[in-house]
Amino acid sequence: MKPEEGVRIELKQVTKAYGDKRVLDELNLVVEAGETLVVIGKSGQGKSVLLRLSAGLERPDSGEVLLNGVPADTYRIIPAQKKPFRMAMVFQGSALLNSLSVFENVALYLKEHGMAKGEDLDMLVMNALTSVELEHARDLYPTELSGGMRKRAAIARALATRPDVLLFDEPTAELDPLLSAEVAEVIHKIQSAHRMTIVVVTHNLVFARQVADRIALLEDGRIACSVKVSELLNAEYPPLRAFIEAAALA
Amino acid sequence: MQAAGRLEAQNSQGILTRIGASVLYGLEILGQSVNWALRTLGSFGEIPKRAGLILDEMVRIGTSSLFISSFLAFFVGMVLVVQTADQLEGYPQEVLGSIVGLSMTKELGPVLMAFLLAGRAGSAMAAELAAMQVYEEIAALRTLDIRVESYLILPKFIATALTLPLLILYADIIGILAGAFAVAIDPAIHVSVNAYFHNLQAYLKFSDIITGMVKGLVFGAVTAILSCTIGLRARRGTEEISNATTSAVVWSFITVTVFDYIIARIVLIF
Repeated sequence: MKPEEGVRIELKQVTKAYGDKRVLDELNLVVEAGETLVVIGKSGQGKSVLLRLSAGLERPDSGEVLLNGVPADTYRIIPAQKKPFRMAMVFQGSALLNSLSVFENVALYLKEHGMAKGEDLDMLVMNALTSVELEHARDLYPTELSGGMRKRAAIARALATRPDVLLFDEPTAELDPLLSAEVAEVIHKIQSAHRMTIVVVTHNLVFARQVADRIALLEDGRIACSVKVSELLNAEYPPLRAFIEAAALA
Repeated sequence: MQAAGRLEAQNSQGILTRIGASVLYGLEILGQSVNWALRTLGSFGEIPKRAGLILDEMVRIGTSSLFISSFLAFFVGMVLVVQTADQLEGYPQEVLGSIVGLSMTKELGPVLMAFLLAGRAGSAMAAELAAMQVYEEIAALRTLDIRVESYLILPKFIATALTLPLLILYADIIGILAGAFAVAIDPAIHVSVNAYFHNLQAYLKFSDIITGMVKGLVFGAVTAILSCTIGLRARRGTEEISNATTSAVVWSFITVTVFDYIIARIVLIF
């Protein structure tokens, strides 16, 4: 599949254990190109691990993680300029570099790989910052930002790489409902502006409903069920129902 | 009796297990350090690209260590004179100059400054990288296709390896001058400042100063790699940041001492 057609993510029989604990157990999952999939599940079920495996940051103990047919760990070591498509990730704690300003954080990828300099660099970074309404904070440092601003700065850093795949790890963690809505709004804007494959892991079902095309439930190391967002409220699978009722959506 | 025997067996097994675990831990650190060192050496082509970061690190290391190194070198120089003079009671004290000069340049200057650097800059490096690992900044760099060894380790490695020899040279000068100061003010020392410097000049060779600085280069490089390796081993939880800081200092002390012996032996061969 060519990158202009989007990037398909496929996890085949993926197992990952830490010590004696098997976090993912022969998990199978496909995220179609251009789809926004939200993976929900209780804390400690391995949602973040699933995302790190998809990003090629970790290797599965067995099974395969394929990005348009390319193993994720192989993709990770391809030099930036030679990558067949681009993948970016927004981390739970934002993971901005504290020694750099917001502008420098967002510019880092482009500058580091010589993809833009001077006025071009300035323009690309400001575009990314404007898309998350953070242009006024360009000279601030991460420690001077609120939680919501940090999250938006991390999204801007990811967007500056012009990704074909965007992964979000608990984007609403530690955010109040208003800030969560802000992040959902940013994701909506990204979805309408780019054809991008997006995977979000969260335990916030309200947020999941706002941004997802499809919602998958991770349970006992496997995808227990997956439903289109329009069918969520009619889902009958008991653990998913429990989630829906706990989130007071029913 | 049987119960006591079992307890003894358990205790001895516990000790052996602990020793075994420590040895494995040490080998793991050693292996990972060699791995990071090789990867960092492989990034040497990017030194010009990292010149700004290297300079920033040098300034940071230098400014954080300069005052305390002056203080340390000054008092070590004075103590050396006072203690040596005491041991030389009944003998001519003119040799004080060469003893202070050779001790400072060949041994005390390099080792003290390396310990100081490990305590200040090494621990800070380990804490910085451990925090970056715990707060997923390292993972973020990887998703941006930025190599840790080039962006983070290389500047610290080069800056430490270059700054430590300069700090050693500075400490040598301060220590020798402090020795002269002790000679001038201490009534128990019966040698003139002129004789102290005359003896120093007669025995201290330029190669002694260079040996100390070469030691500094090696100690600096080793401390940087060890501290970065230990910092990068942190996984989850803030307590790993403080553990990394302590481990970096302890391992740097041990390794500097071992390398001090190895370099001393090599220098004596030539």
